[in-house]
Amino acid sequence: MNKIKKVALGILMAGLAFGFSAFTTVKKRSVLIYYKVNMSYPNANDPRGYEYYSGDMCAPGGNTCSAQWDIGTHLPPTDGDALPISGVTFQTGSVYSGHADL
Amino acid sequence: MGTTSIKQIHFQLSTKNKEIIFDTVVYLFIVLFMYTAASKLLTIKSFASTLAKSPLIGSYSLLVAWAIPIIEIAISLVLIFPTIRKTGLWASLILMLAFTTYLMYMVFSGSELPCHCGGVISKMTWQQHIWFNLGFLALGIIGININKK
Repeated sequence: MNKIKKVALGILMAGLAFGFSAFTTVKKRSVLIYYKVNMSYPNANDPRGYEYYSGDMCAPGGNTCSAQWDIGTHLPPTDGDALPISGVTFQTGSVYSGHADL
Repeated sequence: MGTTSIKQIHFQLSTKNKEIIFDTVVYLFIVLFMYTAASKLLTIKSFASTLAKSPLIGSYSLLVAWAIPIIEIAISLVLIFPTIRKTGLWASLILMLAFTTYLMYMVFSGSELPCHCGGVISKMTWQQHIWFNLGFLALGIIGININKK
């Protein structure tokens, strides 16, 4: 393979990898991580007691720190927004143990 | 007494095969770095927040969060051009070594592990992540050695 073909293939690989990553990351945006901040509702699949934070708020110790929820058609949340009670879907297997350290 | 002959086995690779292996290693690194860089850049806030929890990075989290994907993209660009590929592969190897050392330190020092690793391998545990990195380190070493001969 000559040098120009190698460069072309390299650019193609780089572009595809970057694009695919961006596509999968953006696609996942309706599925967001919410933190269980109110343990009055201890069940992980109960939408009550969850709040959205963009950073990593988990610390060791506890059963439910965060879980992923598909917020469907709801508007993207900002930090501190509670998880809507309806129109959201719990993502099975997405529970992260620990506790939310705000 | 009979003489003992020691047969040495040589794996002779043709120049073309060596070139194919070297190129494959290079392309794998390009794909890995571009994929992870995009993923980090698109979730930079979350990535920085995770890094902030690390005892080694702490207050430099935002700087490191931007520096890592930028370095990954820069190395990928170097790897694209055949004349400077070898330098790029050395840089990749050093970066992977740095990542692996950091992961090993975090796992074996008993530090509190941040919960979300982020990036391409976000589903992996920290231990699996170490094995993944060691695999790429091995690939990098193979690539450099093949190109040396």
